[in-house]
Amino acid sequence: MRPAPIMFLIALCAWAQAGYAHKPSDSYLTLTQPKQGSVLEGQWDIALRDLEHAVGVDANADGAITWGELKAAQPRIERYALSNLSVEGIARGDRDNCSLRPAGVLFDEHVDGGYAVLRFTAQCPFRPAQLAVHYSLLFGLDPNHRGLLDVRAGDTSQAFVLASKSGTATLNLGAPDRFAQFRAFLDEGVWHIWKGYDHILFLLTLLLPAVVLYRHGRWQPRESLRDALFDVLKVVTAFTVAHSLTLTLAVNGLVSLPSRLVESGIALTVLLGALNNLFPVVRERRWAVAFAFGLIHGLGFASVLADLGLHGWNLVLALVGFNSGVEVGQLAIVLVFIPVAYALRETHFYRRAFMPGGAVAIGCLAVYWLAVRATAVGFHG
Amino acid sequence: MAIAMAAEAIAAPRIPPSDATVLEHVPAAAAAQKLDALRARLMSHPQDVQGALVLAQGYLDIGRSNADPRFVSYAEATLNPLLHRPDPDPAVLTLAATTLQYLHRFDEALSLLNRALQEQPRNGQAWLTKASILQLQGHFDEGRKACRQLIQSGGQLIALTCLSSVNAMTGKLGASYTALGRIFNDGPGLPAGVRVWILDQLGDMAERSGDSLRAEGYLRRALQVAPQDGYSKAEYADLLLRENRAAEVISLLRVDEQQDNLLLRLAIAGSRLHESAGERWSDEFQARFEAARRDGDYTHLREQARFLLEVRHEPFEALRLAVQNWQVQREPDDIRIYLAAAQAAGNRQATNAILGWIHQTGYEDHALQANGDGIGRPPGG
Repeated sequence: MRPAPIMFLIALCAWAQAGYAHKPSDSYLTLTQPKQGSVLEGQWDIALRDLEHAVGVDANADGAITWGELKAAQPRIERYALSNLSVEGIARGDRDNCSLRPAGVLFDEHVDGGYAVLRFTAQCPFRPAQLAVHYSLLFGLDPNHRGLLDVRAGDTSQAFVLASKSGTATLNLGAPDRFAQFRAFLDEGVWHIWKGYDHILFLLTLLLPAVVLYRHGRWQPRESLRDALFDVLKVVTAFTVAHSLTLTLAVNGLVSLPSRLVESGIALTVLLGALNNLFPVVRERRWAVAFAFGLIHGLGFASVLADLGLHGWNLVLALVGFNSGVEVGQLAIVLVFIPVAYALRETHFYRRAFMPGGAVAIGCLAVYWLAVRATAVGFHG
Repeated sequence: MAIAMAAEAIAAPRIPPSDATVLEHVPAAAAAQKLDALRARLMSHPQDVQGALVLAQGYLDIGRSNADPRFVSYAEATLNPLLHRPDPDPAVLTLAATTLQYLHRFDEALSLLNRALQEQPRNGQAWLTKASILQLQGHFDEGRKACRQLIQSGGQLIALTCLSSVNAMTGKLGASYTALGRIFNDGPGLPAGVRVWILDQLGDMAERSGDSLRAEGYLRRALQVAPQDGYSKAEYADLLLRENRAAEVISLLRVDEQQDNLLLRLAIAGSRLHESAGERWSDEFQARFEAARRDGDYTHLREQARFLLEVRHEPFEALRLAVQNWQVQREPDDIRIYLAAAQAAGNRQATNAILGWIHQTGYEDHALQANGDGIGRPPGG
């Protein structure tokens, strides 16, 4: 079968044009994360020649696109462009779509001609630490089109080339800003201690007896504040060393236990701590208990960091920041608790009512947690 | 300078002064919109092979006459769904190969052509496209074999033009020029594409034989048949530059700044004449050059090397690009820039490498011989 002559001409022309040079179609997409808030600012420069093919802009087909024609096509352009882009925010294990809202169209020029400049916002449900950008503009119409993505956060900017075979970019926002990152993990550590009541209560079970001594079958007030503080220091330090150790091991994937087991174990440590106040078994060496049980708490902290996919210096920074935060959070509790406990240590109330009453209350809560976590009924995860 | 600075000052996203402000010229809009009905029909009948071929061909025509590579990509996208079916039609494979050739994806194009020819061994168009790519890559023996297939599948004139074109690269310039000139009777009886193709071949052969007067005649006639043909314009501009007729280059190409390969000739002519516009053309080419480099686009290395050598006078960088370009294409223009850059850079090794290739293939070029480059003698002597 001899091909149609008209097609033959095409091949001839292709020969003649083999040395023909050109710039392929590109769009320029910039996402900027402001210093605060969960809303990203977007700017998307799309060539008018591309938009002409995709949605039709030159309404009167006179070969010239005017500002009036661009404005008339704006709703179509925005609908077309934003339906070919999705931005997912990722932070602390949460992952959710950011909703894209148009915010006006302007005009600009690049080396190869006129571009529509689409302004938009990406409203994320939370402030993202990472982004996943899925890009599909024009790919169905022009397989050689590329999106040149520039993500700006703080003083840094990261560039990606999105093509039809690789239309997704996943990136860390602000990862290069080491101090801000350290601060973020420090905050995370502080809040983790304060909001995770199990850690506070465990610490309290060990701190309640710090201002007293178990002598002759009953609790007696300590003589000096110095002794009490030294006791607190030993307990808190042992706890910190232990949880730092297991946290590091777990985040590096060297130790891994099912989360249900870890959470139940933490509840069990709280219960045992409370029982030890009622029926003292370990008296002087509570720092050893703090160490042993701290190992389990450290595994619990790991769930916070494990999902972030950190490596190298980022990981070191995260671990040091988070552990420091936990330490700061504990110190704050100690600073509030110890003066009060020390002042009250000689009272009948502290030794006969507050210590045992507190221990019983904590113990009951621990039993409840243990039951819920071990059977995973409505467990928070 | 003042113009460039002013242009820079206003290059920012902005609202144009009035609705009537023209933002972009889309000369192809009317032609492309004529294809919209076909495009819409194909959307609802994606398996319509004939419809897809006509549409893709329409886009290629627009891309060629407007020098806009986007339309080549649109043709590729139109054919893509059919190409990925289990048994693609040979006509689809062949036209898809043509689009890939435009995009300088020569190896992919060859593999599609081989598939087409396996299915349909007498597909003249596929043989011709294959021959042109093989010749462009410097695979002259294989190119010659492909040309011979055209005697049966493409007709005598096509086959002979194909063969003369290859032979003129391999030591038989004089004989090929004479044979082609004798068989070719120019006239409106032949399709315009065929006429322009043969006239360009004859122009190249005449020029390389040292017969500039005839070469000019052939190229001018080609431009009469197809006044907007970018390849003929570039060849004619180069002839004028060789004859130190830079002013004529400017009047020939003044309206063609959009095409990178013609902008290059304008920049060279402008810099030779020390024209004020020359600086603007150079800046413009430089800007596109940098944009291409930033975007990882290496399809116009040949033009970039020539720009560096002839406008910027940077022979070392020019040679680096010319060598890189040599890995992809080996047409007369590629040979010339390689040798010129190697000699300007005083790089003996590179000079010997290209002279060795010229000696081995028997490539003849009066312009190189006139410069006393030792063409026809073994290198290194």
